[in-house]
Amino acid sequence: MNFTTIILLLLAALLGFLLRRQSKRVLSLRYELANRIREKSAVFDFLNRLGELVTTRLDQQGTLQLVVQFLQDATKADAAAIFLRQPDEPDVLRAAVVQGLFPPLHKTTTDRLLAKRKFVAEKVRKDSIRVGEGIVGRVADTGKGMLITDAARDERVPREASEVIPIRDLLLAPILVRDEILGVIALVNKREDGPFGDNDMSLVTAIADQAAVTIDLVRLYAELSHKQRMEQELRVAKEFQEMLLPRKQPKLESVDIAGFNRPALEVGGDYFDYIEVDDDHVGIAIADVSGKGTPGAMVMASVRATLRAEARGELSPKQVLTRVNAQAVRDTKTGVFITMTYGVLNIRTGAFRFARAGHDPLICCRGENEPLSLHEPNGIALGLVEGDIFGIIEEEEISLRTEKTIILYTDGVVEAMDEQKKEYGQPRLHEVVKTFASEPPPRIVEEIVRDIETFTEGRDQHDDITIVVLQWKNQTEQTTDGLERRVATTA
Amino acid sequence: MKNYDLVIHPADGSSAISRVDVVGTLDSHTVAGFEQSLHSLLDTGVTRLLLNIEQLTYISSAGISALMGLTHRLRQNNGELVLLKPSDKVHRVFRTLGFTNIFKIVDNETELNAAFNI
Repeated sequence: MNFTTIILLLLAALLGFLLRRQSKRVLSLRYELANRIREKSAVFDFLNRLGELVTTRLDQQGTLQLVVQFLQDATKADAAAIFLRQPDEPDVLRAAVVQGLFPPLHKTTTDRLLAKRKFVAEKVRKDSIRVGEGIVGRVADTGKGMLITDAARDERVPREASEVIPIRDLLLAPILVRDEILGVIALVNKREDGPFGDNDMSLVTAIADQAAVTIDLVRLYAELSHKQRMEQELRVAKEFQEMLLPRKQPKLESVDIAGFNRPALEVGGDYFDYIEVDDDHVGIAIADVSGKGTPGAMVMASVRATLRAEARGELSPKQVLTRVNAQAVRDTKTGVFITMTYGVLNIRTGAFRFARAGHDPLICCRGENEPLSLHEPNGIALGLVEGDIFGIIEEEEISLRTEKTIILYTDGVVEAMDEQKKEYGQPRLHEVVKTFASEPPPRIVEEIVRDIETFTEGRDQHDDITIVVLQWKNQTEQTTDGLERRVATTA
Repeated sequence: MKNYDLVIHPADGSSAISRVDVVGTLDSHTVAGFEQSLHSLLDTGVTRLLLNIEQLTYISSAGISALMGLTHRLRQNNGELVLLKPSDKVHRVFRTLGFTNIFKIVDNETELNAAFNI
């Protein structure tokens, strides 16, 4: 063998060696690349599924489960958990999801029971952590993550926790949205390629941001739903209440009637009604229920229905109210009551026979600046007591022909308040009535309402305002041949 | 005067009348606390409840409902609720509603035993 051949062989060997090394490197690069691609698609996959959960179902629990599972796999952690701040408990965190056997990081007292692993799981799931307390609490407080690579030597890790479940390394990251710390992600004991490192921290932080978006969205949505639901309920109650009121005043030959209702901003429960009793009689009711919102409106609807059923053909208001009371006692919760004045008006004679179930007194006025008469016959509000006690209710009869004008109202009128929390009061109401008693009922109503508005000076209306005015029409007229004739004046 | 306050006195040994002073306003804002405190008191077995309402300046329908609830509960256990010294304004409200036919109302302490049937 000559010298050249040896060199060539050596070169070939070297080349071969280099090539093999290169191909090994290529292979290992390929392998790493394949891994990276798999990881990337795992990440894409994860992000896809996360996105789905957020947009289609706003499922917080599902999202957190997905996140914790992914992170546990990706970082090869033994156990993982997500702790969230509680909306109804200030400065308190609770475990939202736990994967694997997670050590209790919050309690610093030794607890014999903790020796049992199943109690550990219970404890981690159920216990609350105060913000600032322990390492989880600290991360929730500062918003800064923690990477503990040697737990045995780190004083931040509670000894007792490690005794139950040995802790080698820990990764804690805050879940942040805008300036708010929503919770903490915690990972324990990296199985392979440990301990946890910066790469792991970057990954967890990136995922934490995603989780934060979901948690925030779910929270906002819940708040919005609650608010929307409340507004919806109020809307329904208001519509419902409006259905209970007469759409127009009855057109009667002998009597002018005006009715007015303005609900307060907070839905209350006033109503008034006109009922056909028979050909000669009209029933007139005004009422105020003690409860607010939808429950109040429901009670009112029920009372209205019962009244209408009992009023037909019955000329005694005491009888009618006694029966309505019996129904109301059965239907309403203890403490709920309805005040009502109900009267039967004879449209031929102008006789108004009425009874007062705990309602505000009835006012009569014969004309401008004439003295008022107040009528408050004995009676108890509806819905409270059985028939034997309720029976003290008295009936009274007024001649509308003589008294000219009758005014019925609810306590929203006299209890309307000004800036200094002074009440509008009966005396002021009486003054307005006296001043405008000769005017037609719609005008009387208008003036009362205007005066209340002046008094309250734009302060929010606290209670429903309801007013009903009855007035006998001037009906007799001398004709040229001296006969008195009834004339129906147009309303 | 405070907006609302409740002073619960220890029960008087012999006649076992529990006295509670209600101060201020009893309306939809304060009624929940009122009900909670008083029903807790009734939970301890009180059957004779005296509400001193001399300093009660205002009571809304919510407050009245609460009083009704207490009365109802006490009477179911053969007990009684007595209201002491309502102001003119509050008394007026009770009269209009007809509650003077339901509640036991007294204007001075000498009438208490009679009101509780002692």
